[in-house]
Parts: sequence; C-alpha cells; structure tokens
Amino acid sequence: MSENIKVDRRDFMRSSATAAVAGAVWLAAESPADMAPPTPPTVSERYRESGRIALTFDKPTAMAVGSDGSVYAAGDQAVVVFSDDAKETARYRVKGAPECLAVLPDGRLLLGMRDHVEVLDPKSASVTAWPSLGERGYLTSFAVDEENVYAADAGNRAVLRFDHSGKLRGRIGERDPKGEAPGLVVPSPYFDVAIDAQGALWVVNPGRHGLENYRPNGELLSAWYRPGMDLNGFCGCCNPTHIAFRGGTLVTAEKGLNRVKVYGPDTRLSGVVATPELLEAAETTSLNCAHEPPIIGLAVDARNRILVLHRRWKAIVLFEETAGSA
Amino acid sequence: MKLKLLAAVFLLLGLWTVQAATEFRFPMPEFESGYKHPAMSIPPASKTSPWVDLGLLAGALALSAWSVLRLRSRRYVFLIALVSLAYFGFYRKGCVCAVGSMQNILSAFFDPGYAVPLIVSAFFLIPLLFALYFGRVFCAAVCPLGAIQEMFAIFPVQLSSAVEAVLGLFAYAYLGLSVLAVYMGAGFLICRYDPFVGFFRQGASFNMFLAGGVLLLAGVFIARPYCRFLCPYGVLLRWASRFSKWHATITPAECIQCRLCETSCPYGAIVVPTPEDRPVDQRTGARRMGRLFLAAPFIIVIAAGAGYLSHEPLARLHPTVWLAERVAGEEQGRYEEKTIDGDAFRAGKRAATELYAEAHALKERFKYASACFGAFMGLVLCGKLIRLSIVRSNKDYVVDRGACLSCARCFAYCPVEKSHAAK
Amino acid sequence: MEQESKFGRRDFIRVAATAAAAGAAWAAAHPSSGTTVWQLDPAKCLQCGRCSTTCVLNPSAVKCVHSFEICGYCDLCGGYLQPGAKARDSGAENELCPVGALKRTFVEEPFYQYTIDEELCVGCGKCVKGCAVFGNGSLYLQVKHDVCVGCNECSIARNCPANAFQRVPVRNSYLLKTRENGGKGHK
Repeated sequence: MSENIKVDRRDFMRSSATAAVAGAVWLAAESPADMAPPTPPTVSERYRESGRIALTFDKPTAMAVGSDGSVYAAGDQAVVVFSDDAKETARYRVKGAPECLAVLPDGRLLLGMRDHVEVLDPKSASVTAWPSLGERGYLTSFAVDEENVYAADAGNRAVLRFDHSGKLRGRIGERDPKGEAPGLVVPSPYFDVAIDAQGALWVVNPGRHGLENYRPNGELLSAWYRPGMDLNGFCGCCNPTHIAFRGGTLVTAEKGLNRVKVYGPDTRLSGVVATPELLEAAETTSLNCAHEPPIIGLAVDARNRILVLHRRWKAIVLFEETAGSA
Repeated sequence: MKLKLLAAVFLLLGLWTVQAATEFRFPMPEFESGYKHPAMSIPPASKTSPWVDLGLLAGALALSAWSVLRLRSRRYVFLIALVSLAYFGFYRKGCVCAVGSMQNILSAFFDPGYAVPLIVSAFFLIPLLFALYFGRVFCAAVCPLGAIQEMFAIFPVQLSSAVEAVLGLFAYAYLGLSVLAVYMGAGFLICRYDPFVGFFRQGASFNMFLAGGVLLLAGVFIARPYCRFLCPYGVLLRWASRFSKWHATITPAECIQCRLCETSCPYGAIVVPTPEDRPVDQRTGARRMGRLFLAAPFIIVIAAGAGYLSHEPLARLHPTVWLAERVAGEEQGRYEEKTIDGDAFRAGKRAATELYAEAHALKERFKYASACFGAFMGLVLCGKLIRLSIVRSNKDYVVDRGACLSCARCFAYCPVEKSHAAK
Repeated sequence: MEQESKFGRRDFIRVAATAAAAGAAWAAAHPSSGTTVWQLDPAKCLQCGRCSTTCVLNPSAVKCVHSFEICGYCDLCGGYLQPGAKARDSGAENELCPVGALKRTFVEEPFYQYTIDEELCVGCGKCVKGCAVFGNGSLYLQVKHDVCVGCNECSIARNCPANAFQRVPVRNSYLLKTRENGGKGHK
C-alpha cells in the first residue's frame, strides 16, 4: 500500500506537467482571441513628412533612387532626374510609360516596359531593349546588385535574374512542378523585390502576405508571412505592395489599407511612417473613393529618407525619422 | 437625320472610350489541374418583341371600340380590361405604357439628341387617334392603370359637379408639372409617381404602395380617382375625345327621358337635360362670360406670378439643383449627416463652384419655366370658368364626351336598350 | 345644310388634331434607334449600396458578376471575407456577403474560385468594394437583363450618386470587365 502511495520525482513532474498543459488549454479556451484586448504594437520610431518633389507627369508610374542620392521618376513618355535636394537635373524622353525603374551601378537606367526591359544610357540618351519576356510578361520591380539585375515578373510569377548586360541567368521562386516548392502567389500586378543591407535578395510573396529570402541561385533561405487586418499584418489579396530596406529595417507599403510601415530586423513592427489618413486615402466614408491605390512606389535614398510615390498627389513624398525617437 | 447620326456616333464613341479607358492585361494564374473558369452569367434582355406589344395595343383598342360602340357590352369591355391588366400590367410590369410615353415624346422635342424608338411614339399616338375617332376607349379597357382601378370601383358614388370640376384641375397641374420636369431635364415625374406600377411589379417603396393603396381604396367609392383627377395623358385623351367622330351614347336610339341613367355614371359624365324653367337665362350667362374674358388676362398674369414665386421649390425637382443645395448645406454644416451624394461629389473631380454655377443657371431657367407653368394653370382655370358659365340647352340625356370613359355602365340602365336589343 | 354638316368645325379640328398628333409622334421618333436597356458602368460605380435599395424590384435587378479572367483566385479574398475574419472559411461570421451569395470553392493550392449565387444576390456591392480595394476588381455590379423590367426612368439611375447608369443598345447590353477591353487594373 505504502509503495503505491509514494510519489516519486518522476511522478510529480509528470502530474505537474499534465496540470500545466491542462491549465494552458483551459486558459486558451477561456480567453478566445477576440475577448482579449488587442495589444497595441509598440511603435518606437516616429516619422514626419520632410518635403515633396512635385512631378509634372499626368500619371506618374515609377520611381528609383541612385547611389549618388539622385531621384528618378518615370511617367508618360519621360524619365526625370532630381538631385537629392529636389532640383530637376535631367529629363529623358522615352516611348511609353515605364512601370518600374532602377539604376545600374554604372549609371545606366533600367526601364520596365510591361513585357521587356529597356536600358537607357544617360550619356548618349540611347535606348536598347532586352528580349521580351513573353505574352505573360508583366514587370513590376527591379533590384540591382554588383552582379545581377533581379526583375520581378508578376505575369510569369517569378523573379528573373539577369546579368548587367541582359543575359538571363536564372529564374527564382517559380512553382516546382513536383509540388516541392510552393512558388510565389501573385494575384495582381503588385510584386516587389529588394536587396537588403547585407546584400540578400528579398521577394514579396503577395498572395501569402509576407517576404521570402532567396539565394541568387533560387534557393529559398527563409520566409516570414503575416496575414492579418491588424496594424502588425498585411491584409487583402496582394500586400505588401512595395518594400525597401533602410539599414537593418524593412519599409513596407500596402494597398487597400493604404499605409507605410517599418519592421525591425527581428520582423517586429517598429514604426508607422504614413497612415491612410495622412495619405488622404482612408475609407472615411461609406464610399469607395480610394479606388486606385495611392502608393505606387517606395524607396529609401542615400540620406536614409523614405520616399513614397503618391499617384493622386503626383508627387514624391519624403519622410524622415524625427529626432528623439527611442 | 444628320443630328441623329451624330448622336449615334457620339453614343458609340462614348461607349468605346469607356471600354478602352483602362487596360488590364494581367494574366490569370496558371492552373496545374487544368482548371477552366466557368462562363459568366450574362443573360440577354429577352424581352417580348415590341411588335407584340404594339399589336396587342392596337388589337385591344379596336376590340374595346367595337365592344363600346357596336356590341354595347359592358361585359366585353370588362373582359378586355382584365386581359389588358394581366398583360400590360402584370406581365409587362407596367412598362411600356402610353401614359408615360408622353414624356419621351416631349424629351425628343426639348433635346434633339434624345432617342425615341418608333414603338414608343406609336404607344403615344395610337390611343390618341382612337380617342379622336371613338372616344376614350383606351381608358375604358386598355390602360392597365385604368383597369386596376376599374376592378376596385365596387360601390361608386357620384360627386357633385363642383367637386368634380375642382379636382379635375389637378390633372392639368400634374400635366403641367410633368412637362416642366421634362423641359428642365429633371426626369419623368409620371413614371416616378405612378401609384399602381408597384402592384404590377410586386415591389415599390412603402410610400408608393401607400399612395397606390389609398387611391385603390378611395376608388371603391370614388371610382377611378387617378384617371379623373391626376392622369396627365387623360387630359390629352379628354380633349381628343371631345372632338371624336363617333362616341358611345347612353341610348342606342331615341332618349325617352326616363331619368333611369341619371345615377348610373360614377364619373359624372352624363349631362342631364336643361330644365324648361331654368333660373339662369342666356343673357346672364353671356354677361358672366364677358366679365370672365376681361378678367382672364389678369388671372393668367397672377397665376404666372405665383408660378414665378414658386420656382425655388420647383427647381429642387432637378437633381443638380438638389445636389448643389445639399453640398452647399453640408459645407455650411446645416445638416447633421453627410449624404452619399455629397461624398460622391466631393470625391469627384468637379469643383463645387462649378456645380453651384450650373445650379444657379438652372434656377434662372426655372424662373421662366415656372412662370410659364403658372400661366398655363391660369389659362386652365379661366377655361374651366368659361366652360362652367356657358349655358347650354339640351333636351336629352347625353354624355360629356370629355369626361366619359366609355366604361359602358349606363347602357344597361336604358330601357330603350332592352327594347332595341329585342328588335 | 346637309352639305355643311358633312365637314363641320368638329371634323376640321379632328383632322387637324390627328395630323398634329401623328406629326408630333413621327417627328419625335428616331426610326433608326433600336431598343436600349439600362446598364451601369463599373468604372464609375462607387458601391454606395443604393442599387439594392432603390430598384423597383425586390431583390434588385442589379447583381454582382464575376470576371473570372481578371480574378486573382486569392485565398484571402477581400470580397469574400469580413475584414478581420478569424478564419478563411464559409462560416457566416467570416463572410462579407450579408446573404451568403458569394460561394468559394477550392481549385488547387493556393487558388480558390468565387462564384455568385444570383438567386441570393441582392446587389449591395459589399463584395465589390472589398474586391476593388484589396483585389483586382473582378467582382462588380451589372444590371441583369433577365430580371430588369426596363423602366422608362430607372429608379436606381436617378438615385445613383456616381451617375454610373446609362442606356446601352440591347445587342450590347453589358459593360463587362475583361482582360482585353477594360478590366480596371490599378497599375
């Protein structure tokens, strides 16, 4: 009898673990998520608008920054270059409206013309075209490093890796026919790529509401997804629409809930740059007045300013971190 | 012709630009399962051919005229009314309709770019022509609005002629307002305030159901209130019928002055014989009329002035004026809540000043148009007074061709009818 | 006397009136203009919800249609799910459609097909708004001509704050968004 009553260390640990699990389950069941007050994300950084570059385009389409601090904006039939103090320094005529824009290290400009890339040489103002990406081609973004040009092709649901001369060297993020790689889910022409401070390639997976990190050879290294309607997450069908890296932090832009946010290196939300109200694109009334997403470009310049291309304002809005933010 | 062509070209161009305004060539996902998306459900407008409507209209009018003038049968008239109610009312849901077609015709006159299909023109014209030759046989059995009221006229009572005359003015006012609304581009009042179409479609706003229900219930005793006191097309038919070549008569042969039909007409359309010893003689009547003719210009001017003064509320019939006042009111914080209309306007590209300017110009036009409407009502009033002061002498019981709806009720009251039929 | 009464004042007025009425009807008519029907332009639509409340019919003749070829087949569909829905399933608390007329079926990972049950759809435009804001705008409202009674003056057109209603030729009675002609891409 006494042997049976005796409780040894193992028994004690077993029963207390059971109790702990049961308690946790009970607690979880007791407080459904919607009962708990939403914990406001701790926003440690503050930003303010520090200026605007007004564009003369009827419909601006794309924006990029150069390593020298100059800002490039594209619209109908033209690409305009601004110095870092917002003075127009050059203007090039192009055919059509580039839907994305990037600057190669040697100063040449990459123009995304729907299904093919055009390269504009500012010295000679000559344009050369790379081969077409096919009928499904729909270029939405570029990322450039020392060796490669990564072109986000939303129509083909892949990131295409080119060298600087336009030779196709690989395809990234395509769905594996055997079903081993889930592939990028791109439901609409919002598909961005960017290179972080360490030189790693990040691709937005808009259908899964997050980012994926690839090796140049197409190997998926890591990913984080955050679907959700709250401030912390990305909602709708294709968010985030744009990304840019600012030192170690990630800047994101969204449509639907039109806003710009900042995430820390640990992927935690660390700041809100622009709210829908600030962008004059809030759903304040019962009407859907904000039909067209206002944010059509996002970049971080050499002075660490955040640049937002606003469709309706026809302007590049500059945001700076205010001094004194923790 | 050139204008019409131009309008057609503009219409096509307009549609084309709408279609080409935006471009969306983003490809669909590539489905590995071989999924094919279903077809979109876009059922065509499989409406009955307009020629069927037209044929039925003409046929029903001919049958109605035949039943009233030849067969002299209320039963047949009632049957045709039932069929018309079922087809033009419940099956075609009250549209296409002769009463409303008047507005389309007017629109075409005020705006040459407005396209009126031939069918609509025919729906306007044919009942009028029938009225010019056979009386208001359209009202008797073909109009679904008349038919539904006819079904409810169960215990009709006779109104005094004075009440009848005063209430009859409302139809003229409604006609004038409808013309004013069409002229100013404020929409089709007759369609908007059609009280019975809600029953045909089994759907309408509560207020329209209420109005329709009240009219139908009142119609149990005061037969066909809409036809007599409101219908704007009825005004035209009334005038056409006054000059009709043939018309229903109470008696098929000689009136024997038996007075039996006196109480038969719920519409006050039977004119009783002038008594031999009438209190008012011709000369008093003539003098009264002379005074009326002298007063008429003043009455018309005063009515025109009244119309002019009421241009503010009348202008609110126009959606642009209404919107401008609403937007201005919301700007000044006169309203607690903002409306969708105001929000939609503010979200649009137009400046408020532009809207105000347009509304202002419309109001200026409304001043003139409202004065015309007032003058028209003055004229109607004078005409009514003059008609009332005309002293007629007639020996027999006859129909008032304008007011008579050719319902064929009185036939059965006439003893001559029976002996005539026996022969 | 007999001769005179054959064509009197009344006859003259009648003939004149006949001529006037026929002339007016003829002058007003556009013999070439075919039948037209009401349709709404999805590019102008603001999804205010009046289509469902101001139509003379109940439920409204305006219903949601779906251009599959511009749909993203999203799992997290802004037109299907309530904002902040806890789960992406057909639970009524998650669905945006107040009458459950938008149906979701699994196609293949990660795609879902959305179809509209027209019997249920009331044309409120809630899903249209969700799809326009977050998605490709493949859901939008159209007047269904098998339901529309073709009023002379469309009650919705009069109440539409966006002036999105117009008369279109009966042969071409829908203003559809397709990939080729006019789907409203935001880029």
